[in-house]
Amino acid sequence: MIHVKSLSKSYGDFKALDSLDIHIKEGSVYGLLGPNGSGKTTLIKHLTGIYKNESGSIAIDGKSVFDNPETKSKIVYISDDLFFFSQYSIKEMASFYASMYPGWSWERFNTLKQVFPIDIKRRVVKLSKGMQKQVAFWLGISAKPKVMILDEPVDGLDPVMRKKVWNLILQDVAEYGTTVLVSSHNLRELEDICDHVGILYQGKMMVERELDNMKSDIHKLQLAYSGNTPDNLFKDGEVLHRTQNGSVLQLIVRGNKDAIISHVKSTNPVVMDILPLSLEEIFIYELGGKGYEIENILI
Amino acid sequence: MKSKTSLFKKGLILSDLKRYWWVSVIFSIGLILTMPLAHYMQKFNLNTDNSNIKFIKEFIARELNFHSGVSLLFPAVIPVIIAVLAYRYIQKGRQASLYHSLPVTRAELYFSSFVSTLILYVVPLLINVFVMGLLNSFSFLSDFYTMGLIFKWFGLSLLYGILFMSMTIFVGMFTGSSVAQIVFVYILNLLPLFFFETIRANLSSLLYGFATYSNTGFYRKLPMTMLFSNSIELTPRMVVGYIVLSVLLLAGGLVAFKLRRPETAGDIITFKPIRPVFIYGVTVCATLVGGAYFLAISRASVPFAIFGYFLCALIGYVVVQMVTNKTFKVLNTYKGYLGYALVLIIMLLGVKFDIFGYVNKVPAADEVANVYMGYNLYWWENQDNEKYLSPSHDNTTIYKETANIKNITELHKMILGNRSKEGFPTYIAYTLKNGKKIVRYYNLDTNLYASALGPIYESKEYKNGRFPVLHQEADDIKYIQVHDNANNKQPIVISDKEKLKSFITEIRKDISGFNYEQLASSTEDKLWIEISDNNDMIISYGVNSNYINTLNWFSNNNNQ
Repeated sequence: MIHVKSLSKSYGDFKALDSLDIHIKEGSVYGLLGPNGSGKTTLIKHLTGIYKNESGSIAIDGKSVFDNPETKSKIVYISDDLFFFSQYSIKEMASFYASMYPGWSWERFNTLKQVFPIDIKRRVVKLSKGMQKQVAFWLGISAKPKVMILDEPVDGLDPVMRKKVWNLILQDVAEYGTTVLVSSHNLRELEDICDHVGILYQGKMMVERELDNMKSDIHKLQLAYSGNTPDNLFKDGEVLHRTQNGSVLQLIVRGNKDAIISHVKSTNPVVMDILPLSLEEIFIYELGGKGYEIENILI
Repeated sequence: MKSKTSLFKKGLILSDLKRYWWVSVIFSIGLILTMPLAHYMQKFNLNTDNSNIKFIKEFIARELNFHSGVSLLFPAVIPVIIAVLAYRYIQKGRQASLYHSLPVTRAELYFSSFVSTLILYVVPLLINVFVMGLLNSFSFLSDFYTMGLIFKWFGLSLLYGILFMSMTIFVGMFTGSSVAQIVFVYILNLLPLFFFETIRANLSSLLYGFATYSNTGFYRKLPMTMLFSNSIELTPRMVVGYIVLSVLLLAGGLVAFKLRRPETAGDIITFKPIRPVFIYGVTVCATLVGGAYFLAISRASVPFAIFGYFLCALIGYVVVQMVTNKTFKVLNTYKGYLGYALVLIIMLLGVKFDIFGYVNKVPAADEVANVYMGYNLYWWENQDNEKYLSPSHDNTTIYKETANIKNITELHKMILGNRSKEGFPTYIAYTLKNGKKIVRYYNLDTNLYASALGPIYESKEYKNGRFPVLHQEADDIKYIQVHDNANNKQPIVISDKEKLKSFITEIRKDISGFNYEQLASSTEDKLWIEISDNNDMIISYGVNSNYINTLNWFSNNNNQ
């Protein structure tokens, strides 16, 4: 669906994107992670056709985005820094979007009134920041996009609204195969909704993973042995991390769960626990293994 | 690919109109108040006295012809404001993001905004045309308006309006700030005038003898100066020129818009290659102003001017660096100033050593077709212009005799040798045989240059020019008036042809006999004679004690 190949972008001497590759499948929810200044918004502004690619290529559905209304009409972009015409009410803003996006559905807009309890005659800029964000989602979802690109989307939304909004979006994903790209610097926020995650750091894609695989691929083990730890435990380098706390040995291991269990059982541990890993932990160990100071990359 | 392409997006235009209709309303009200309503009230409060009617009629005609009136301000201001508003989205980061993410091409964005600008500007014009048309048909103002005049006003408003909005749009692509956009539009319009005048002010002190033709102000033909000259005379060529310029600016604006990076919204200069042009452009302007200022306050002292150049260049450079880099920390850009200062030093040395040979250039006498020497350069430039009538014959001699041309080139060399700053302001203007012109300006000290001036003054050509009475016959003269400076009596008028003849004979005798000292002397005049010819052109002569024959004739005739 979305293909970006060796995209680079500089602001003066500062290289914001450095021959970046990204590949997002149709109907997936892709979480774009990275600290502030890592290039998330720059990448997003390329994907939405705001910036022209200086080098490399960007294709959505096999077609270029920049200056291509046909592709752009399928994309809705909700920026972290929203803009509404200062005199416009929600309804007027909706009319403006309706005149711009061929997929716009008034029916949908009206149905969504139940979700967003704001009077459509109110001026958007007079609303609170969180309510403006709601309006942005309201308008965006009503445009029935094939691709939704969300930059730090749920900042400012209360937890209930956050849930409602995600439900709406995920419903579209399930029903229409909408592709969603959502950026955040907060991993925990994305954990529940994304099926793919990419981590951007200093303009480069450091890791790109499918979450389900990832979770079933890395395991946290807590073991205790009655004597010394056997020498033959995980010899072949699948251990990403190892800590010994008294007699308790904690291991982060990559591999098939059943294979790991049978391997560990063969060493006769006194205690064996397999614990779930949070996404955050996974990345900490993945990136830690690559020699990055993880604190610098993820919050 | 859908082949549906268009140049505008209706939704964008409607949104512009919805947001900026108030500008058009204000503009319409302004037009109606300052034009038809004002015209109506003027006529209404008038006792129908013929001279007043004529006055109002002329006033209205002048206004509709763009010759005067408050309404002249509108085409220079309103299109700029509307264009800035309609293209405001390119200058505001958040709005730029929204607009550029919409499913429209940049060309569609560009032309939609242009159509909005046009509609917001033209609708008030049409309303005003309609109101004036109604008054023309159904009120006493029909005596003052004609549909032709009303449409001429509409056409001129359109011509200038579109030109200024095109300029604003074009300029807006190169800056990321609406304020800068407005400022740049007006600055660019005034820049030619600024350069012309400051360069002239600087060179006239740096280059000995520097002179420019007084009417070479090419900038007078530029739109903004033309608009406010109170005497718009648009030739068809200029109309076509303005239209072509508008189209080029719009096309250039589109090209720039397509290349423009949206993230430059907020920057003073949006295109990197333009930055040095802007930075050094401002520095050059500051240098010129500094030089002109220091020359003015130091009475043309060159060392002070040089101080002024480097100081003001530094101030200008530092300020412009701060503005473009949006920081006060510009010390690291010092190399740019040093480079500029170096170029400035080289240029000043070039001027000092006259590398272009401007100061020391004296044409060889045999290359010269004719030469003018006098203070009235304006007359010399306009001698072929039928519209320009010289107010006097004074200083209107063009020397064609080989001897005089030779003498003037010798005088010229002598002036360059002396470089005196005393004496009468005098232009020496050569017309060469190859058609080229050389004009220089000096102060001519008649004592210092007596040896070179002598043969010129004593020549027949000089005397014929200075004293037309030498070739005026009695039949050409209507009368002469003689004022006696010794008393305040009424002047004596002589119109008798016989008397005129004898007068001419006597004064010619005096003039023919004058030598250089007598011609250059500033002895007090005893009589003041005005000779009026059959065309009522009056030429005056101060008669001092050197005019022995004339004075004798006068005392003989006066007693009768």
